Amino acid sequence: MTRKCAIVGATGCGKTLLFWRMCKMTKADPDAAQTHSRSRSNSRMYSGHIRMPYKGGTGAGSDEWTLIDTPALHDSVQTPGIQAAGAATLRLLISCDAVIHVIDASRVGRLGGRAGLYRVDRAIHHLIMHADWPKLRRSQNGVQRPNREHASWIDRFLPVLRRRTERVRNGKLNSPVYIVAANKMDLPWSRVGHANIQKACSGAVVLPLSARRGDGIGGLFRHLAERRLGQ
Amino acid sequence: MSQNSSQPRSTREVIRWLEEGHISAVTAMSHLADGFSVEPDTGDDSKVTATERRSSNPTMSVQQGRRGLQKLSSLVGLGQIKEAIREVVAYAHIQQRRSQMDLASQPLMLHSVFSGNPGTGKTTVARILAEIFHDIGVLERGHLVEAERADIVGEYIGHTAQKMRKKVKAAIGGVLFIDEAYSLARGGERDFGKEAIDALVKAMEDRRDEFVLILAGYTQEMEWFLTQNPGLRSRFAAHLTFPDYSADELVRIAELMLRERQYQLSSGGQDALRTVAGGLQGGEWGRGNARSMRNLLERAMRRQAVRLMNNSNPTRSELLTLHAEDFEEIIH
Repeated sequence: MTRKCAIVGATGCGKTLLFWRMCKMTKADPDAAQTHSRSRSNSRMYSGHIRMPYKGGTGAGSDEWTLIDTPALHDSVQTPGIQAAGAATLRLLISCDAVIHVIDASRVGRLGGRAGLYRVDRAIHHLIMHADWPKLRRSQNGVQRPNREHASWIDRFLPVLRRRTERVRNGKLNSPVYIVAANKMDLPWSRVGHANIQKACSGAVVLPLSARRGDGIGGLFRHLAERRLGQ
Repeated sequence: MSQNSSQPRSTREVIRWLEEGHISAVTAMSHLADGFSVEPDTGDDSKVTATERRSSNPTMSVQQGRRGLQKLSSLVGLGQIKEAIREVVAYAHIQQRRSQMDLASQPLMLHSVFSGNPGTGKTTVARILAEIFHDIGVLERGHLVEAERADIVGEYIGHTAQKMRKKVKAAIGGVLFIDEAYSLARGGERDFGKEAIDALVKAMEDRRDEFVLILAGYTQEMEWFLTQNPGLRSRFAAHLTFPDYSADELVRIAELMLRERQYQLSSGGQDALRTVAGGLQGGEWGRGNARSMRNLLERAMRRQAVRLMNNSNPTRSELLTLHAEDFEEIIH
């Protein structure tokens, strides 16, 4: 089963570079049909189909992920195009299995304290850590709580719908795997920034990495694989 | 925005509001997170609120930066140097502020060349500069690492780059101060100094905003040195030439030093000091040089000690005062 992983974050934090780096490392072929520049007025998102290089001893099941690069989220009301892009991103955020939240550690360190984090970053962290996820997803999909008997009936007769109940059973209704990527660790101030991000994003896994240099991406993959098992 | 105040009923509704431009993404996420209170949208683009801005380092640093600058202005003489440094510091500070407000900012080029005779204040100014850069938030640590030829030029092939890397690493977040830098280029074609210069140029580019490199040395030799590698001169933002101290300035420096060490001069002593300063300035005992001034003063203090040894019970004022005779040996 393919799982969805969204890369989200504020402007200029390195989402797209990380996306390409992850695609390249797994020899994934990102949606070749689409052009690969993200323009501001464009709400399209680019996805790459990746196979996890780290299996983490899964055994059964497949480790395929669809990695999705999203447009930046903004903290004030913007042009219709950007608003639409934001809506698409949030829709994805609510439905995906894993979220990689990219934060520019160098910026955070340089500006110091809480000022370095965009309001968007704090909002994303809060949403994922504190929202009532089962409710959120029900209200998004319009699905009722799964009924066991109902599910087994569907299992027998409707293989198409069966996929859906599987998703329900697999904990799809719970919160996504949440990884905070402290990006730009190759730049100055990033170590300070990393510490600040760890403080600000309490409860989340913060992985230091540099999308530009390719450092720490392996850890990201490993984490995705392991966390998926934990669910 | 009537929707903004009312509570949305479902996830879909929140996303529709966002799509239609009634609420921002942050507000949407706070609705989704349920009960998450964020500051109301003020509509302006600044990402930081006033309280946050007050608590972040760049603002605090204005005060601290002044402290560093005060230290700089308390130095005797060096008028042009101070002016040039104030310029560089102001520029660096404003670029910081601009990037804080998400305005376009130039990458900072702070590497400098300090040329001038020994004892004209190069190291002192470099140390203060490191402090100021730290205060305004350009450097993470603001320490000064001193290096000379022996610290960075290796003894066999490949050794130099390794030594250089070690020094640069130690200086990250601060200032790397290479004294008598021209000596790197000395020693001919097969000398490893050339390798050191190449490694230095590379480090300056690769880690441009992680440390500040200051090369120091005699004026003429530094001029020659900068012609040795074609890329060298253009990589330094500031070329500061430290003038020799004038006799008056040397006297003021000497007075400061004496005050620090709790000594006084008798009127004869003052005349003698002036003679000494004039001699220093004229190049008799090393040109316009604060360090020689300090050495000469210390010698006078030793002379005074010898003189007072004969006195079994010196008074407080005797212990404090330097007389002309203490300078005698130096002058003659």
